[in-house]
Amino acid sequence: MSAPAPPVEDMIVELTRACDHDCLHCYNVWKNRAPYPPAPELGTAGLLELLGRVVEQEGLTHITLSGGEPLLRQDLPLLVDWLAARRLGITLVTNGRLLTAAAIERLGARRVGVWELPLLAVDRAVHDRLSGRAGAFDRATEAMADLKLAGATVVGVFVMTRLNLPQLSQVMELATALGLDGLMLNRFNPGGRGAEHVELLQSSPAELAAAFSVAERRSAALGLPLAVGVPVPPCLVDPAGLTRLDFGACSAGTAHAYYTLDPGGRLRPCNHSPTILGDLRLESFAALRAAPAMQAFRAARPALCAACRLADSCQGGCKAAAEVCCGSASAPDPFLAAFAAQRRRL
Amino acid sequence: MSLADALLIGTSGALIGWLAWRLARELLPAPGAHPSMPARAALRRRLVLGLGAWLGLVGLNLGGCQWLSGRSAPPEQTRPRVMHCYHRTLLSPGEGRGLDPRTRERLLAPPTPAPGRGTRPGPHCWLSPRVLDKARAQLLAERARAAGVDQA
Ligand code: SF4
Ligand code: SF4
Repeated sequence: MSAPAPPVEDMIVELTRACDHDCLHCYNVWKNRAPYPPAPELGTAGLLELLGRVVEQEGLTHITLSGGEPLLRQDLPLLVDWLAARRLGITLVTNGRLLTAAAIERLGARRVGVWELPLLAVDRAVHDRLSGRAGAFDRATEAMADLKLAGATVVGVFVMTRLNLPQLSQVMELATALGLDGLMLNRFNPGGRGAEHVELLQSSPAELAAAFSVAERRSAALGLPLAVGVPVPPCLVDPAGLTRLDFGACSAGTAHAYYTLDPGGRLRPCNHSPTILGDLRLESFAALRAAPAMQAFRAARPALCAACRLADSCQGGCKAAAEVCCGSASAPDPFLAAFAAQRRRL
Repeated sequence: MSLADALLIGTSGALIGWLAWRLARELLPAPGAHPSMPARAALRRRLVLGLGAWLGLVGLNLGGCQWLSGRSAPPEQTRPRVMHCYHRTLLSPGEGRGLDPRTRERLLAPPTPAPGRGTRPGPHCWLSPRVLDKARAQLLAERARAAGVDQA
């Protein structure tokens, strides 16, 4: 068995399951078809006690607050205060609906290091359709404008789907016009509610390749920084010539992992994976990192990739999507499985 | 360990063991006995054959079987690197990059009708007027700040 997973500096905290949007592509694990074990949401005191212990034991320097929709937690300003007082870096992932100028002031535009909001289209009908709620586009863009007015660092998230991919170039212009500090390009990665919409949302490798090359060109022209947040198998989309984009590989179980604390206090390998490593209220972070389930997740590779010389670095795409859609972390990533016949031999 | 590595190590072990045993039998005969010429010739033949087979296996493992063993390093640009925690792939917390205000100004400018082509749609066409006002106000504030810094 390999060495236990190393300590990390970051952790994602899912503050609540509740959300006021219903995104077609939502990957929240409690929206998976296979039921996710329920657990009561931690209250303020319980959560802070747990965070205090974990931050100290693990030496965390950064926390990402996510959900559901974190702004639905009434104690969010208090939680941000608590994290800022301990000099922890904070990223807040929100759909922006409740992020009024007053809410931004309460939370502190600059106390949150990075604000992450969706920017899914330039056409409000498409953005709203993907978000599952009318008015989502106007609220998100207004929140972005308010945040920038307040001097915040703001990143837009563009989930690459068949519905919005043709608008990517214009979305990059819109992000620039709004003064965003960067744009994340995340290929649609089935999970949660998204796993029900693969036919509707999943682009082909050729469509993604064309979009990435548009993104490369426009990013240079606009000076807009880009990042890719979901691994893209290089056998399906050739990264050659994409100097401003790095496709990356699964970080689960490495020092860059983003272990995820669910609203009930359980730890998972990442936000997309439904695997529960254990209950952080009862066990230490180090013990859960060393758990056999984590080792198995880290070692998982699809049999499809056994002959590929990139297997160790690429790891075959996203294991969590494989878990959700195909029942096991060592099954092929659903994107890889759907287009396996189109793989280039590397 | 890959299948090819396992094959190589297993076969090498077996060959070396067998050759050592043969060698010991031929070179360390019972006291008073001398190895015959035909026995020496057979030993040489076996040694050469055994070594040849072993070298062949090493060559196969190192060269032709890249796809089997995965041991040759893929070119740097195609080898995916482990992602940083996703929000850090773009920028560290609090580290805004700042866009060129001239590009933003162009994108936020009122649409200009181009003869024969109608109005060029810009991002402002999709923003509600309130958001557009706020985006323009922020750009102005940023320009004023930059001008202040220049004058200081
Ligand atoms: S490891 Fe698998 S997914 Fe990655 S490049 Fe090779 S065949 Fe494609
Ligand atoms: S399993 Fe998927 S979502 Fe989780 S860390 Fe790996 S690539 Fe990211």
